[in-house]
Amino acid sequence: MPGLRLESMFHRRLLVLVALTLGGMFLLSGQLARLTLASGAELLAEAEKPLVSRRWVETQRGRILDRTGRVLAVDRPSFDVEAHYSVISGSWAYTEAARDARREHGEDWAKLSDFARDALVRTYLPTRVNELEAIWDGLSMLSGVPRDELEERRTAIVARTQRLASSVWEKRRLARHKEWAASRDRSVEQPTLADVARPIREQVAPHVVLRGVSDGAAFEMRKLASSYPTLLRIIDGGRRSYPFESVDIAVDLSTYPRPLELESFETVRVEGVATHAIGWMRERVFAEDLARRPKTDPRTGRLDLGHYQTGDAVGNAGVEMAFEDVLRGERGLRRVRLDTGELEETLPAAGADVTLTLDVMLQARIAAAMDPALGLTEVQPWHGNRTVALGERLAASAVVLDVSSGEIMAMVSAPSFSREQMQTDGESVFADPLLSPWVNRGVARPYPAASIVKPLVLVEAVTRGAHDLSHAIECTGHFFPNSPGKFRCWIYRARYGMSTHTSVTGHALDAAEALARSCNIYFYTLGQRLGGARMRAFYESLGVERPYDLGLPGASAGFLGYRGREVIEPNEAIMMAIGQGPISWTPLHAADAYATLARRGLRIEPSLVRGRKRPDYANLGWDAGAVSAALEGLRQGVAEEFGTAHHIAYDTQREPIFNATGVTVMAKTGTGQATSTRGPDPDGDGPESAPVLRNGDHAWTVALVGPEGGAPAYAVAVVVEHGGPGGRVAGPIANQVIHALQEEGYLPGGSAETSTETEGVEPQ
Amino acid sequence: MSGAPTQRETPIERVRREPVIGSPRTLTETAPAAQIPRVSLRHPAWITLGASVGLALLGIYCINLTAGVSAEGLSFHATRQAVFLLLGLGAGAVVAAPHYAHIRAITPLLSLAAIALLVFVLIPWVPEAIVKPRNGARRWISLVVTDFQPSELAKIAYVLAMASYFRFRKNYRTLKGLIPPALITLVPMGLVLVEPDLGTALLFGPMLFAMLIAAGAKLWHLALIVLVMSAAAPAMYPALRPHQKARVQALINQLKGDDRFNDSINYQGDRAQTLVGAGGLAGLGGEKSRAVVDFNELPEDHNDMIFAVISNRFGFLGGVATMGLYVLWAGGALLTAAGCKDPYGRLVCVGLAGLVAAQASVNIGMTIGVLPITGMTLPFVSYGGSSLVTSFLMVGLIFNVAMRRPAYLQRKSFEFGKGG
Repeated sequence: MPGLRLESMFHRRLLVLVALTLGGMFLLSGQLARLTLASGAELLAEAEKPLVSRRWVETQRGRILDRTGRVLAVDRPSFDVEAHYSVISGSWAYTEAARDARREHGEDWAKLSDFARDALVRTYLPTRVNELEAIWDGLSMLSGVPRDELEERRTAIVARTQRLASSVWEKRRLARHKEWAASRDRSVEQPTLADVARPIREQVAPHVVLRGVSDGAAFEMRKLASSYPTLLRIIDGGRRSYPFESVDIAVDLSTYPRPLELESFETVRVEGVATHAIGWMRERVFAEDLARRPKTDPRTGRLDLGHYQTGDAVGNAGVEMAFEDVLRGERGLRRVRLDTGELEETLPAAGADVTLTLDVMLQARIAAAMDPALGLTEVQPWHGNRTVALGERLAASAVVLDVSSGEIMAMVSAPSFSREQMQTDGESVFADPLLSPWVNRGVARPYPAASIVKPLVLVEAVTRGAHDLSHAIECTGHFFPNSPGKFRCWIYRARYGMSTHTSVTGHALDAAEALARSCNIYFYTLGQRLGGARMRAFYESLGVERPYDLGLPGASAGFLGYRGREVIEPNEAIMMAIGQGPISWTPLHAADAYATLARRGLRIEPSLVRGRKRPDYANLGWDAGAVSAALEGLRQGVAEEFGTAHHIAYDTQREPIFNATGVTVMAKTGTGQATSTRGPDPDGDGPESAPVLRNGDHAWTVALVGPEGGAPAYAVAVVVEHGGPGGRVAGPIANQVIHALQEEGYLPGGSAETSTETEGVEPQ
Repeated sequence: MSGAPTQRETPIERVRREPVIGSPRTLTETAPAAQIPRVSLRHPAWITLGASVGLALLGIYCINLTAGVSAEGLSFHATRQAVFLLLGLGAGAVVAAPHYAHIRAITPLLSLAAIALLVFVLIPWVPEAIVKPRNGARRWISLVVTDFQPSELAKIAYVLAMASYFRFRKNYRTLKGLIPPALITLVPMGLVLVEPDLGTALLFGPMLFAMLIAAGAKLWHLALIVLVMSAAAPAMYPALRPHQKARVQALINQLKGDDRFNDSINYQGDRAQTLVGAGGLAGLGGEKSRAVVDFNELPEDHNDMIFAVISNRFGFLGGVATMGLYVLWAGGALLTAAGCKDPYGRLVCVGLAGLVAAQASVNIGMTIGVLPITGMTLPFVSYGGSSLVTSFLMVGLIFNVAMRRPAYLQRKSFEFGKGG
């Protein structure tokens, strides 16, 4: 081999070429090292992905049961049909026609202008459009869903997706614009919508067009889908079913107030039993869901088998939402190595059941009693309602607590709504600001506490040494001697001849009689003696300032004191002793307080879901004598002629409010002075400018009821918004709650009639 | 010393005994039979041949690897490639046999034939049975058993033609003198560009530059041209076809870290780089690599993208070793040029070295994501009969030059002093 002679120019030039070659290869080696050595592990994982076929195995959502084991919510097996968005939007036909045209005119295609291409594609379009139509006709025929309805669903999906895309694109544009504005490089053009308008996920993904398809129809549809494997999919679409969505209740009208009384049963269909508490599902997965349970834990990288996927149903309200993670369960996963056939399988884990403390039939019975068709939640002539017209619908709520456990047995808010209404016409649920069916009044709306607080104030005053039960108090009509217009007793009015309880009875009132007669002067006195600080502490001990931790979204605290001011003024304390002034609470607060009274000061935090947490007990240390006096006052309020919870007075007649036999009822009524209910604020400058929809007092009745001669077993709180006098309006409803407790076997004395339960018909 | 013949005749003695009449220039222009017929089998072209065979065997192995997990034995493509390897070796031997001066003599004819074939594939009325367009490109002539790509032959013919053109000239040492070779280059380059085959067309540039560098063109002239062309390159972008623009755009996006187009215009590039990186340091091993390559569905994995398969199977070390084989190939060719005094032989070796090095670099560059993807094979490795056979024709040419030892009195060409 001849030796290199570097004095030769040619040889030197060859060395230049060698250097260039080596330099080029060195640079390529650098990039090769970057890919293989620096990013090798990551890229290997990426490269191995296609080797593994992953198939998710659907899980089953846990059931929701009531306290007796009745199934309130359960997954039912069925199938859904998904169509790719290109099929739904129709763009598939054009894409396929373009492919046809290109295939047929491959040689000329590259030379054609865009316009000429479009014209050529349109000659192939009718065939593909007909094919698309045939797909939809097939789906319609096999599912039994009319073609028009399918068209409506298509249109709705396209409209929703386009709205979403517009929103996403605008967000992207704004983000890009922000980057552009932050950079100083003005050689780059300002970003436009066209720069960011790439398809969003929903525009390249399948959407459910048919739900709840039966086995047989699904089998036939699979044949159709096999011809279009990327366009149509039949998937497991196990649907949430609510067996007590609709319940027929036979209501005994013989126990109703005389004007409404009939010696017969009226069957009432209750739609959406316990919808507020149980909640419902939504079919869309939101970004929040994905962020809350990402597919892989960003810190550990572990796969979460409970993560959300497109098309998942998500708990959207009530227990379905609050216990989403408990109910949801985890998917199974089948991993098959396509090269080796190796199978790795993780079995699905079904969601856990959630048992509520509610009795769904008791709930349904109470809801039926509050059906306006039966009259108790419509303004009646004997209600004495001076602000709401006769026949107008009244919003109301009833809560039943088990005294022994603090469990909520029923929590009814009327009017309510059905899940079908929410899913098909959700806006209608939110369209009525006066009756606001979406509000779960039992726990989410505080009302002025009114006179129902009086037995509690009595106990507190005695316990704190502010009052001696042996001292009677004279009713003077008005609390301050020189101010007859202020701090008056309810009896000190022109309609009662400006009388006083002392003038009527001829003696000063003891605690029980003061309670039974609901004498304001007696309790003003106790309020003045307790003072503001102790009054605040008293209500705080009842949990008024806190929302209940039931696991339910939307629970509200009561109001205690004026906003921004800690101190309760003496005059405010006087008013708060009769439940007026700066004190309001929810019906659940009221029932809880009365259950505590029945337990003689042992407070048990109410619960809605069994086993969620250990019961929270607190002994308030109430004076036993005071509790006995309070309970005696409540008993007299029902049993004695002079009791405010004793009777409803008509023009010439009267009848007992509570007419259940075999039980002992102790109750207190209250009429709470309330602020107006206003409509939506039209100009956003404060509630004052919002139109007044309704005025008038809220009607309360709270009762403790147990077997005759026995201890109170259940606490019942009823409130009727702007219903007027408590005894006449809320009392009959509380009476029906007691009858419902009897009918469901919780109290002796129920009739032989039983209800018929009707499962809701699931819409397809 | 008294006139008796020595035991072994020196070249000087031989020239004196058989004097060649004419000027020194005629020494290299005399008929081949009159030249010194020295054939040697000890020469650096063995390096080139060895690298070629090594690359071809590697190609057959990797082509077989792309047959998928369900394939057994040697796949159809690998078998064909093995057959074409034998054909290529035979074709190389045929080209190596006659003295390259004979080839130089017919270079004008070969060049015209190559041009004619390039024109032929562009003639629209040629039946599709002979020239069938693929994806809108007219590059292939059907030979029934295989397809022949005239541009492969044109690259070799171009090297021969330019070597012939440069051998006694020195005007390319001026800027003005660079214009004629540039215009000559535009003829095949333009025809290939019309096919369209941008990748192959761009290879004419490195070939020309390699030969100009070796021939003694002033380096600063060449550097200036490179600078001007680099500056002007963006202005050529609008002239690109849509799919070419898409590939450039895909590369730019990928270099910016934008992976939005990995499922569309950058799909091939993304898959290729994934497979390359997955190989790690030493590769995945046969069966695993076969499965990974199969299920990643890399388009043209047995052809233009074969380097991704090599890297996946043999990792970084295998990739570098493959590049090393190309360096050896080019090194063998350049050593052959270094040992040759004849200007034609020298430039043929340099031009072919430039061609193979450039083609390999571009192919590897596009596979590992530093260059836009163009339809270009990896020499000796990618699947394709005409590609492999023409590659071995190049080996035969280099072998041819290497075997013919120069005469001692032959004037060394392209020696322009220390300037330059």
